[in-house]
Amino acid sequence: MNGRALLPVLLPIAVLAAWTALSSSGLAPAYLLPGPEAVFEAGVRYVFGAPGQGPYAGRFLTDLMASLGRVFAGFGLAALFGIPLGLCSGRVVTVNRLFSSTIGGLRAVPGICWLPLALIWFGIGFRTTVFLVALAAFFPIYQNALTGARSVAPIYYQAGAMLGVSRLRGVFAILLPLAMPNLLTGLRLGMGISWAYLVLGELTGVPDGLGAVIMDARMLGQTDMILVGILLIALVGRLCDRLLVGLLRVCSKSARRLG
Amino acid sequence: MNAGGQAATPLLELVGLGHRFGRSEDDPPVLDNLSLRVDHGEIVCLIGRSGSGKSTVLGIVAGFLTPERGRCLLAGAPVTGSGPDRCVVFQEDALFPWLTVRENIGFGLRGTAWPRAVISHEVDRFLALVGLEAYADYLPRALSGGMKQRVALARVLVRAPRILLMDEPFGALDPHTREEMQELLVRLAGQHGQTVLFVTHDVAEAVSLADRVLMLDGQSGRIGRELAMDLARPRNRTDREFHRSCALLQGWLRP
Repeated sequence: MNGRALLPVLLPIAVLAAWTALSSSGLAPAYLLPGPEAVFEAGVRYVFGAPGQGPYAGRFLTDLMASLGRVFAGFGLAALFGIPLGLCSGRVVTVNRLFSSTIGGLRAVPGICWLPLALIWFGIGFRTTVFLVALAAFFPIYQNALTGARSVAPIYYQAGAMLGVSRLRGVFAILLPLAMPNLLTGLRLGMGISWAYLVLGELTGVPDGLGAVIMDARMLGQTDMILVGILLIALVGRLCDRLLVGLLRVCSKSARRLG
Repeated sequence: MNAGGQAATPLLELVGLGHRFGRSEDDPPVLDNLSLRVDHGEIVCLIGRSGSGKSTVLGIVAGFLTPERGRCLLAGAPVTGSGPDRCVVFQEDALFPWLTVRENIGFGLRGTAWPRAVISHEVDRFLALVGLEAYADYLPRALSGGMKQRVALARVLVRAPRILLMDEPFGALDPHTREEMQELLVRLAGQHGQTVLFVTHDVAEAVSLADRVLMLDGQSGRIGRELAMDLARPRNRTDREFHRSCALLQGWLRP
């Protein structure tokens, strides 16, 4: 392995070393910062342990499924509305005028502000979380779809029209492929935000989910489990991002070749 | 090349076209009572100084623009909107960037009822005609300017348009490539009896391609002069006749 290949792992190794030094030297007490091996053990117990071996043992799969369900439902709703609305707004001036100020105004509201209202409307649990995730993920998806549609040069529509492509088929044969790099960016941003708002929604006291575990562990003073939760959310979030990119590359030539 | 002589209906006929770009009546018209005709199998070059409205004429024939006044008739029928019977090769790169050379050429056939095997065969045939068999699976971004225009040409010829519209398609190419493309166009048009309306401001290009040259006069907004090119083909650029024709056209364009 040469120096260049080593470069990206340099920083994580340094952080790990500092963490070990900090916790083993006693500078940071275990209830504030448990050592790496304690966190690792808690993680293994959480993911692979049998129920009953500890407070969180073996709960991972249940929590993961609960969180994934909320993220996919919210993200799916955001994409379902964000992509068509964004593409329409980017293509049709009238549609853009109709929506732009309203959507711009809504976007200025920090997503967290919706939490109290969502709790009143939907109560604690699945629907509140999905609502928050969908609302937050909508804006980057919408905005990037709009930018993508707007950036398609008219000459491509002219080329399509003269080759016999109808307006409707042009949406799928010309608009979508050319807007795909922007769509992909928007979807990835939306997916990232989905995980952020998932944790927010789950902090409100739902019984299961990766975010719920973090909040629950805080109340029990289990700092190691908080760290396990954070690391697992980072890992699963990253996997979801790769999955999204992979899926679009499989489905779209344009995402494969232009993305 | 003139198939029907004084045939009853020309393939393309523009009658009394008027068009302006501004919205108000004070804006000067780009085209004013312009008329022209192109017969079956003819290569007609439309020359003119920049801003004289050459591309506007082409845009109207292609159906991208609706003229304010006048009629545009293809084989006697009025043109409405764009369609594969009137295909354009643009000056700039308008290939679909996410499709390979083969897919770009086949793009216009995807929506037809043709069987897959026939489409594939046609695409192969036109790949060979423009000499790009070896580049079939390349993306446009990997091609040179001349290769891109070969693909653009094949992409429209495969749809067998009744008239091929070319909007300074070789303007951005280096001189050598430009001449190569001109020869290719003349050869393909000859083989297919293809009617071509070719817009250019390069007089040598007009002389090497055209059966007839029309000069669009920017001042009046209509066809100012016309020259039938009866030079034998293939045309030799070092020929004295060739130079005399160029000089003549150059004189027309001088202010």
